[in-house]
Amino acid sequence: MIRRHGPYLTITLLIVFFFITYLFTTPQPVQLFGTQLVQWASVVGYFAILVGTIDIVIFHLKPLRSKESGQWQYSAVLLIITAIGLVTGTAGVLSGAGINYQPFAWLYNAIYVPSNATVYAILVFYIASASYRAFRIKNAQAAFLVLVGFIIMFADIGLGYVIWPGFVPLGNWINTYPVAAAFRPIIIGSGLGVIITGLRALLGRDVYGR
Amino acid sequence: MFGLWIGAALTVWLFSFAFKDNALYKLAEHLFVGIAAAYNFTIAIDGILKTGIAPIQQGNILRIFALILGCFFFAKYFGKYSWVARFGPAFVIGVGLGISVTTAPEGFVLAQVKSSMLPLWTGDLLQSLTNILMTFIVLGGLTYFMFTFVPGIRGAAKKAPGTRLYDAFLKIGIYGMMIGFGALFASTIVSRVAYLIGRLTDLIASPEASIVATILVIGAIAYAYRHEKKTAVGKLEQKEPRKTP
Amino acid sequence: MNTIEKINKILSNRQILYLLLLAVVLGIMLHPLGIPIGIAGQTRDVYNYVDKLPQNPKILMDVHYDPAGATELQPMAGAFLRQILVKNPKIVFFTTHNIGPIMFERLRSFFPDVFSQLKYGDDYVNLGFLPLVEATFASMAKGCQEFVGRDAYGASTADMPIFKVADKAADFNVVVLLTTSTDPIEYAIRQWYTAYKMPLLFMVVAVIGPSVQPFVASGQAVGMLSGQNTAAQYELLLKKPGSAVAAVDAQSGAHVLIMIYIVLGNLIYWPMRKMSKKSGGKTK
Repeated sequence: MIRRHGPYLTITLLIVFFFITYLFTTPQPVQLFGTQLVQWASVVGYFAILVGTIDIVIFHLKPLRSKESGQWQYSAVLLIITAIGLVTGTAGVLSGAGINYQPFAWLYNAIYVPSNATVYAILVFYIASASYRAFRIKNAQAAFLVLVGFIIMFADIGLGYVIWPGFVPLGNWINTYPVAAAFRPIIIGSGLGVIITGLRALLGRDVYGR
Repeated sequence: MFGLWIGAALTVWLFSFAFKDNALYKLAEHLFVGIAAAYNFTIAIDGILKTGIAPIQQGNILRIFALILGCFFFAKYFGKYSWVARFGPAFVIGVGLGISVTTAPEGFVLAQVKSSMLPLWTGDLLQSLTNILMTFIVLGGLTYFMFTFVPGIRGAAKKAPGTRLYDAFLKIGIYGMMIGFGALFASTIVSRVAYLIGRLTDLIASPEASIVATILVIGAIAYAYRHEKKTAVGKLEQKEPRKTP
Repeated sequence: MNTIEKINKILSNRQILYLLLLAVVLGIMLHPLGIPIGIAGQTRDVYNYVDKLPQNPKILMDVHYDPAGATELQPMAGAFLRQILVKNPKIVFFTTHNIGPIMFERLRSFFPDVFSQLKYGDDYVNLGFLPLVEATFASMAKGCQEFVGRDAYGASTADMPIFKVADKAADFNVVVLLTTSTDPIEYAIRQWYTAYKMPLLFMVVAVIGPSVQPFVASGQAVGMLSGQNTAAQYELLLKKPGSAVAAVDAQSGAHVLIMIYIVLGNLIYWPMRKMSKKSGGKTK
């Protein structure tokens, strides 16, 4: 019983608790307990990150053990660099320097920072290729999308200001008014979605739990 | 100096994926994932010490329950007790939902609906036209997302007034969203090009490293193409073995 | 094969498209064009808002970006800090992005003119990485010092003078969110603005700008800077051009090339499709 329904009961009780403290005036100890619960949730979040790292290590131990062709060498490299990072990082935490511990800082500045930036930068190539190969103006709506896109693009770049200075205030007006209005239904929808998700969890009708 | 060379090499090798998957790209990818895992582990440990252990040392004893709840996550590695692991995420989800559901109606729904109620005539022609446009776009967008109720009978010979009104607002909503998505498309290009400029700035700062890394990756890509050709020929020969005289 | 088919054969090869883009951006970066920049009304509004903040403002700042987003957001952060410095601010920095701690150290090293004039513990503090869950935002509003026992460098927050004046939601004059995703913005809207009416100032990457615009339009945020172009405009308003201004030329070149790709793609596709329908074949 507690195995199957315990987590859902936990979620339900917590939602009910926060509803009560939000909607009604409650004694000071109850409010303080609510503050404690919120702080605990933030601390628990760190443990999810720890589990993620352990899962990556376990995942890459498998090809290493089975000597999977074309993969085990890369998994070995990954595990070695992870081990070096863990050792230097832990040394940094224990020494009190945290991530500013010199060997660890060198590692992430040399490897993590440029790699992380590059992974996002690759996307520009796909935008360029999609612009030529996939962007087909097949109807009036697509044409309208491209027209607005071009106006905003001219407003964003200095060249647009040179061609016609009016692009900048026009782009600003489009961004401030019609664009805000266009995304408003989406935000209202997402707000309603949050409410519905909470109510479904409260009533035990959470589809993902089945 | 060595760090700059490694950074430039990793940048060029990761970029090479856009051209062809190759051995140097895979090496760079695995180095990245490995160091990312180690870095995330380190800051998580640091965070637990900072927000878990330090407050306990300062007198907030109740924080120990947070550490216990966090340790529940590790139960997933012990087959028999793996069900205990669900309580950790359940707690975070419960608190998150509890505090978001109470504030979402006001923050997301009411505030947006309130600011959509604009005066259709303000005395200033441009502002009035803007307000009218915004009102119609919001109503059109809401109509578009209303899936459960469609007035009139679909396919009827003559459209009822309600259906005509619905169709009109639907069309306004679609064009309104095209404005939004056009702006989104333009903004996406700004961001992605900015990311590219950032990387190229670093590559320009270490030109020798960039050139050496580029030469190496051209070799790796050429090898990958050759290997692919050999594998394709080999597979073809397996299907149709070469006839020897 | 006619001209259209020849052009299509060359440009259908995506590597050519990538190399052209690289060549244009790299070429302009090495030989800048000096294109002038217009200032948008929204950027000017942010500048004026920051200018009108009272003396000794208390600021809560979430450094939620990664190295990719730093190209757009670091210039904004630096320009904001330079503008606010004259008012003797008290700034509580924290980050909800796992790479945020690195980005904060880079911010400090890129703008030594700002941080050399601020005393750590008195004028500013770095609380380091806090998990990106809604509970973090709720906890920070109730009290930063009670929630975070140690700062990013291991020092106890209990005795830091800054928390005597800048600790709970009501203490802060403005909250600045430097972010590459909408999650911190949604949490801040619910846990800070809706609950405590804390003024929010968004500094975001361009890609999330349009989807966050409704919050600015409804007054839930006091203003927004979105993208590298607005960062350049902000630097120009402060009369301290930096990396964002330097990137404007390359942005222009890349944008023009992508617009040419879109136009060319359609100008080539539709005639080829017509030709292929006439001959009964398939178009690529």
